[in-house]
Amino acid sequence: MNAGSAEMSQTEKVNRGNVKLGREIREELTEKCRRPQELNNELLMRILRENQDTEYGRKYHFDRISSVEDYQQMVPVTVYDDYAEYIIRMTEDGEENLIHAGPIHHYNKTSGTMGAPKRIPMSDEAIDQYNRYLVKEPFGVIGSAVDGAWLGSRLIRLAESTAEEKFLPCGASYGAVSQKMTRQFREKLQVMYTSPDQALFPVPGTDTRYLHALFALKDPDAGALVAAFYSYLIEFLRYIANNWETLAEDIRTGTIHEGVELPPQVREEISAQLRPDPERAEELRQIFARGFEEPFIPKVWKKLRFIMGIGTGGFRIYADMIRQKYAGPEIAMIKIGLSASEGFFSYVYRPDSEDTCLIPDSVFYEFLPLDAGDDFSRIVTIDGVKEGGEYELIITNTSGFYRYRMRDAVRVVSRYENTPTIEFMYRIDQTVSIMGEKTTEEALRGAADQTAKELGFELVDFSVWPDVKASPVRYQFFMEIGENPNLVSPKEIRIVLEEKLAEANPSMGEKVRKGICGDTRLNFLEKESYALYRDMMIKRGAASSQLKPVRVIANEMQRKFFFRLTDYSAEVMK
Amino acid sequence: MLKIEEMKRDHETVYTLTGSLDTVNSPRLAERLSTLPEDTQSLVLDLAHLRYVSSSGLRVILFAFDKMKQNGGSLRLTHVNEITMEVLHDTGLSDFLTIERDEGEEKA
Repeated sequence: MNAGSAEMSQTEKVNRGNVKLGREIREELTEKCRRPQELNNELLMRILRENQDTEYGRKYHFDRISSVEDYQQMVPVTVYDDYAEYIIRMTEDGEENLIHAGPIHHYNKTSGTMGAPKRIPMSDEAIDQYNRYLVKEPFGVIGSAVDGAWLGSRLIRLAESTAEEKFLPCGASYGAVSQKMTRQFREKLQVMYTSPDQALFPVPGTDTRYLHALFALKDPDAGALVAAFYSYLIEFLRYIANNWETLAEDIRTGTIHEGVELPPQVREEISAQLRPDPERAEELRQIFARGFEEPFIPKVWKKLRFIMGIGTGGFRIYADMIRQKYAGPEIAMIKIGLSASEGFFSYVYRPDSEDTCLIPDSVFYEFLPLDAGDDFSRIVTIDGVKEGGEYELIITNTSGFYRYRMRDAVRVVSRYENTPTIEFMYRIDQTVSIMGEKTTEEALRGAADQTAKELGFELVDFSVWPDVKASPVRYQFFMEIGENPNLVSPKEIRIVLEEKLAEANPSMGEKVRKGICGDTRLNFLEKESYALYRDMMIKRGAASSQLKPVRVIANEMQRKFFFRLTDYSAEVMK
Repeated sequence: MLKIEEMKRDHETVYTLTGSLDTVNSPRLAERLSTLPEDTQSLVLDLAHLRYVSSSGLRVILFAFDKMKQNGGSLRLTHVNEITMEVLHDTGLSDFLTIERDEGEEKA
């Protein structure tokens, strides 16, 4: 263990401080949840007052709006393109008071997995919300969900930020807000996290997975495993399973294996931090040498009490896999509420629940029923949503977006106090519909996941291409599979997948039966294809911790990539 | 099966790859790359006899690119045949790499 007793005490102080603050925020939220519509309306009116003299506010006469009804009549529902021109003027020319009163000091860069990266303005108030609701509040959940054995421990945090902050011509910072916040506390991070500075702020050419893994394994007392997305967590755990011998040997000798990609200066800096630890190395060897039939996390880190990240919606497949293969039943899997670059929408009101509760004072919410199409007359506010109802989220935030379509589909599950709890369903733009069947991302995920479970193979990841050039049109599924202990044949996987797809979306099943859509073709990708995709996206400027899975192949670049790396296919031979 | 032949001249190192750069063999190239002297200014991967490259192999090529860039050097792929070129193009690697085709055609 690197940390001395004084440092450990500081670690505990930080963790306890976070839990205390998290609990306070949760108590405040519980109180707010008793009167959500009132608070939400107050927020809207304040946003309109504060921005009535902006160019956008004047255009839509914010000064004349005195009710939600006025707002809905006078201000249109919007998408990003409605703000693109304003944002260019703000970021390139430094103009102010266009969509938001006063300056914007930070713009979020979207990951670009859904298209070209966008610049999403983030007000100072939104940054404060980020800190309260996304960084601090989860510690309140943890405090109530697990015992305190982890409190004196550092966390394994798989986050990476660029060392240098990027700025736009207007002077505002540009990038993931998480990176901005992490950078502010750079000097103190070693107290909180196992990973060295060189992994948290990597220079190009640094094998960060190695550094994260080495320093995590070195610390037997690590208390938690945290990343933005569960997909990154599973990649980390797979890396350990595949490279444990090298890692254990490096811990034994206190050196870095020659094959590890590290810039010379980083290698030198890291080497200076390492000391031989044969005892820990032997302990790890004994654990890993037994194989991976049983979850290794509880054996490797005995104080590890929780794993935290976005593990709902498209990420549930990874959360389930981590539970089954690596964590076991005792470790708490803490999910994070629904958030995006445009705002923070919900929080984990109950640790063991899949649904999360709307935050009544972060953004103003409107809900468009999913079956309403573009009939905006059917939009409702918090008080109007029905349990079991499925809606597209429309938000007005404190950063200059008004009645903005998030393109996220949510299901209202129940109410906590008086506030709706929601479950993220899918990205609306990730729905496949080649003959009007509307197969959602949720249905695709369910079909793939169920197929893997039923047949007992490891599904690394999957994507879908709507093949409209085929006759008849059909889906092409792509799967990368890991272990396949039952040696299930490609043909068998394809048959079960077709059945599961028909169950998940009966409309699609019927179209296939009638021959309106062709049988699904299943393409098996070469090993490491998804890892290569991640590498390529990072090379194109995406933040590794922010990358989302490719569910529906949406552009030519992705299509070429996945077809090219197809190893073999299974389809019905006619 | 992958054979790696090494040739050095001044600060340039040439690896001639013969066979398949796949999941099984690509770690060998990664291992070899790790022994490259830091003052290597130019690394050439001669792919004239490369029959097949998989996702794992492409990842090692990307590592090589990063490593050379970090050291202030450059990576060049030479004698890239039609099939390998298609793979590099379709996966997007050709956007970053300096590639010399079989015919001597160059793409930056």
